[in-house]
Amino acid sequence: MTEESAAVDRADIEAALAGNKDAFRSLAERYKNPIARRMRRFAREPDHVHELTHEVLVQAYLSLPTYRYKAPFEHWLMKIATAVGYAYWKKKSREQSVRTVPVEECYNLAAKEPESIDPERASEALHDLMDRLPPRDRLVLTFRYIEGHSVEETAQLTGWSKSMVKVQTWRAVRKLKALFRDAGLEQG
Amino acid sequence: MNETDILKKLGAAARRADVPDVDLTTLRLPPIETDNEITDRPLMWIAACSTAAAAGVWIFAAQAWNQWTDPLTGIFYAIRWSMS
Repeated sequence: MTEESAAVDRADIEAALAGNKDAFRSLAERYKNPIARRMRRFAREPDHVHELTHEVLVQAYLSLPTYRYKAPFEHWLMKIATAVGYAYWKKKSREQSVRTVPVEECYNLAAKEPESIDPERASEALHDLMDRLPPRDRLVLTFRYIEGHSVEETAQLTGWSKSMVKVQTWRAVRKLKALFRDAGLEQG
Repeated sequence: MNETDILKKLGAAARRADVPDVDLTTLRLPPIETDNEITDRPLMWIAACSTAAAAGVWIFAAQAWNQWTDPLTGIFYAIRWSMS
């Protein structure tokens, strides 16, 4: 994030707050891909990713008067994206999901050379694996290990305290271990 | 390879997956309200004043009710009336 792009964002935000919807649309165009990439972690179907990205943008538009320029606009958007994705998971956790990738296959897939793993299959495997866990565990595992964020970054994105993130990570990893153990895959 | 390594490896591979193209032409933006704070403030003052007035009335009514229903107060008034 350069100072120049921050200034462009600020100009668009101020114009959007003054009622210029096109200014917000240009902001949305700039950030739709990072948002969609984040929403891909929450939803596997492209239609759902599309809908969730729209929802994040609408929520951001409605919350725009509360943005105080304390953090880069993208960070602020990602916090909204996390809240929208987490709500989607909570809603989905009440439904029975269809799993196509057994736990063993996740293990076998990860055993391959990184370059030879099919990205789509890896994404599918992660969704199937994470579907077996409650939303809170999914969230912390997604940020800490799948996205590779630090404890501090995860705390910022989720709005949890750092100690909460550490405790939740420990619990989630324990449940993940149990999943592999139940599938007969004892890990080191 | 432990469980978290599996997530890291699959996560690294999944990051190479294509991001679905998001079409923003169908994005519907509702009207934005920036003056909520200004319009809400007088309502907040009215609510605060009404609450304070209601609390005062409630305290007065409670005291009056207490006096009215207190048997000692009744006896005291009866004695005073009989002595006058």
